[in-house]
Amino acid sequence: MSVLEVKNIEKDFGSLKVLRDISFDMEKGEDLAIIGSSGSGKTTLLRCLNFLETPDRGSIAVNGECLFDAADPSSVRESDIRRKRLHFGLVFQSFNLFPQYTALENVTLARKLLCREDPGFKQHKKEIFEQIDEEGMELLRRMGLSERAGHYPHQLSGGQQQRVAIARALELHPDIVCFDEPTSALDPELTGEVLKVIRSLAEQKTTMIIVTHEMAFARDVADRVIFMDEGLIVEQGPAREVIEAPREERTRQFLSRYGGKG
Amino acid sequence: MKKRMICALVLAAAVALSACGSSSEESSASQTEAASETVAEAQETEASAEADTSAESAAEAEGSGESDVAYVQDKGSLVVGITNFEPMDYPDADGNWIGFDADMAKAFAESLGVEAEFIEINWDYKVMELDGRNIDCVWNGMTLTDEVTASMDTSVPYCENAQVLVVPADKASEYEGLTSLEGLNVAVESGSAGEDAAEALGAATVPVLTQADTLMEVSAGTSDAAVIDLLMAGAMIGEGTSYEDLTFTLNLNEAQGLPSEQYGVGFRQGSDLVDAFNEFWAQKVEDGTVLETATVYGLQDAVILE
Amino acid sequence: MFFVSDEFLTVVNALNTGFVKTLQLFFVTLIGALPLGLVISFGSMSRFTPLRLLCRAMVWIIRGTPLILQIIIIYYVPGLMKIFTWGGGETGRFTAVSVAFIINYAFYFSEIYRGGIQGVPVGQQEAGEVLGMTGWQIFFHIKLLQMIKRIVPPMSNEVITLVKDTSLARVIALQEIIWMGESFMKGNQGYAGLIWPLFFTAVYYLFFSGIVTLLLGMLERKLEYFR
Repeated sequence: MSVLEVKNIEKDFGSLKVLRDISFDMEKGEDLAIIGSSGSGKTTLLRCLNFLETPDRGSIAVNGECLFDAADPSSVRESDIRRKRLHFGLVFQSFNLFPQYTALENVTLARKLLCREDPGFKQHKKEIFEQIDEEGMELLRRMGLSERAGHYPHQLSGGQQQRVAIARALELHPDIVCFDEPTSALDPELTGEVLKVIRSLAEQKTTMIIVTHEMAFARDVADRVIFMDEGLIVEQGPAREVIEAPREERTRQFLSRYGGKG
Repeated sequence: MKKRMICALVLAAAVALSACGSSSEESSASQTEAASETVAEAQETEASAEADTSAESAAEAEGSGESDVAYVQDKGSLVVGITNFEPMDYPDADGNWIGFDADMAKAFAESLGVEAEFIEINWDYKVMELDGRNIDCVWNGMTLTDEVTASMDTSVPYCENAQVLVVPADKASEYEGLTSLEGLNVAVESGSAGEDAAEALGAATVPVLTQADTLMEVSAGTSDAAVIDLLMAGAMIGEGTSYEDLTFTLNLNEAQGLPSEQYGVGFRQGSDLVDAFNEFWAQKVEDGTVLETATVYGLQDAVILE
Repeated sequence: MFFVSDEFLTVVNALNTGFVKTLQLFFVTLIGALPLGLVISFGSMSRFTPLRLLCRAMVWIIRGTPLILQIIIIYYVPGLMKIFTWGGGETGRFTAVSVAFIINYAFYFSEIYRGGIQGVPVGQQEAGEVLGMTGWQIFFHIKLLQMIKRIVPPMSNEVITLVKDTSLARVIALQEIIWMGESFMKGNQGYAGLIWPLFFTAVYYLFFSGIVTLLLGMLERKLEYFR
């Protein structure tokens, strides 16, 4: 069974059609890269999956459960959306760390707020929080940041901040982790450390959708690549195939422009 | 079916509303009845002492239905609006209000069977204070000007006063015998009788908040002179004050060829407290209390004893 | 020596009484206006258009008219319209003045809050949302502190202004410190015609606004740990 099924998603901003008839599936453990020029709708697609935008048409299902169906208004109730979001994690291009919290607090804050809703929280508050802190430290260690747990975001480099943001997204154990151009806001010499972390996540079979301009990275790490242009999926297929031997003319044109980077 | 339901609902609401209305009318009517009864009782107890006074005011209370006397007696205090004005109303060393007006106000309150409560007000807003029922009377050496008598009901005049010109002592001679104040900047209390007098004599007036502020104007040289009450000038300038270098020269009433001014007590328009006061005052003049009290504060020449 | 004379001690005693009133008004205003301003700022950012327009209109009215006029209206108009009276005594006057100050300052604060809240990057809101936080959690755990950091400098200005604005209360004869200072010009407790007590009130204002400035400066430095 597919972990994610996206069917016929469409999104308009006024008269501008940002997404047109987007459909794709993902298997558990699969890594999907979405490429395309700016304004092609890649970021909007990720925002739709995370309920930051509401699609005008189409449906989204995770593990066979329908999370969103534009035809069924009951599926877009505000109160349910919060829980549904937890199926997805999102790493922003501009990190969006909480400046007043340390790296570790950034990672654990949402979990600590969420666990208040569990029965028996009051009696075991201390143990639960210790457990969460331990897991948070473990995640930071995996990001190579155990030394930085007590630092505030402004005391960290861009690459370190983005790695904290990745740990924060992983902390809630989402089914699918989404990356929105995770290295675009970084100085070139800092992109490597972030890509390395994402690569190691891929090796651990984390299900991921990565919007990226790093073609070589997409080719090496992703199982599958989707190329989008003007809100449409122009071409999708195995990563190496799409990037090294695209079938569509528009894909070729795009890749030749980004060729220097690849 | 639906229409009929709505009709029924509207009807029910209307009935409920009218029921509320009539019941509240009834209760308020019975309340006023009860109130006027207690007033009548209170005045009956007084009747033995002051026979015809109480009979009259009680009759009035029943007549108008909105007796100020009853209102004051009901809440148990006569709230007297004042400003700090020696020798009429001013605090003694312990902070208790004394002065000719204050002492007489206490006696008047006593005659009504209530306590006098003194409240300092902003003189500019005395009418609003009265009409808004924050105070019950203005009793503070208030000159009976046309504005005052037009906006309040006032008592019989009880004290004589005049407006005087306050000038720096070293220039006093320049002002002697003047009949016009043209070309002078004269500080006055905004809305006071002094302001009217200064304007009548052609001065460019500088209205400030209090009579005390006018003295600072002269002292600081920001105004050439000030016009204030004779009674106040006597208390506030000269030896032992910050205004040792000031003096008063001209009586503006004489300069204008006008009779002297008179002080009165102000009440709400239509208030039956006016009659209550006038009768109280006539009695106190007769038994000598007024002169006695005036003498304590050096006003024996100013007080009206008729 | 003057500073131990009866005159000085009597005046200082009276000024202290007035200053206590000034302080009471200052703190009552802060306690009422700080939270009320937040509620109003939510109203003026509401997606419900009538509420938003109402709040914006009230901001215009309150900021567009002098506080001194608002005090006079709030104290006198209910009595003149026979709705109710605040009472002529000090308590009534203090209550009315407090209401006027709280309303006035709440609307000023609400605009500062609004600027502070809208100044928090939208990415902070979205980061909280994708982590499954509720709207309240996002406000209290993420945006509030960032907003406070943003608004401390403009709020400091308003609070210092409030220290001095309390003197407007004497328009309806609330006996705050300037009123007490002026009382010795007319005569109070056996001293009349004294000007210096009025000028001496400046010492109290300077002392108090100095303390307030220090405290707000400390708060500002406390919030410097993040950017």
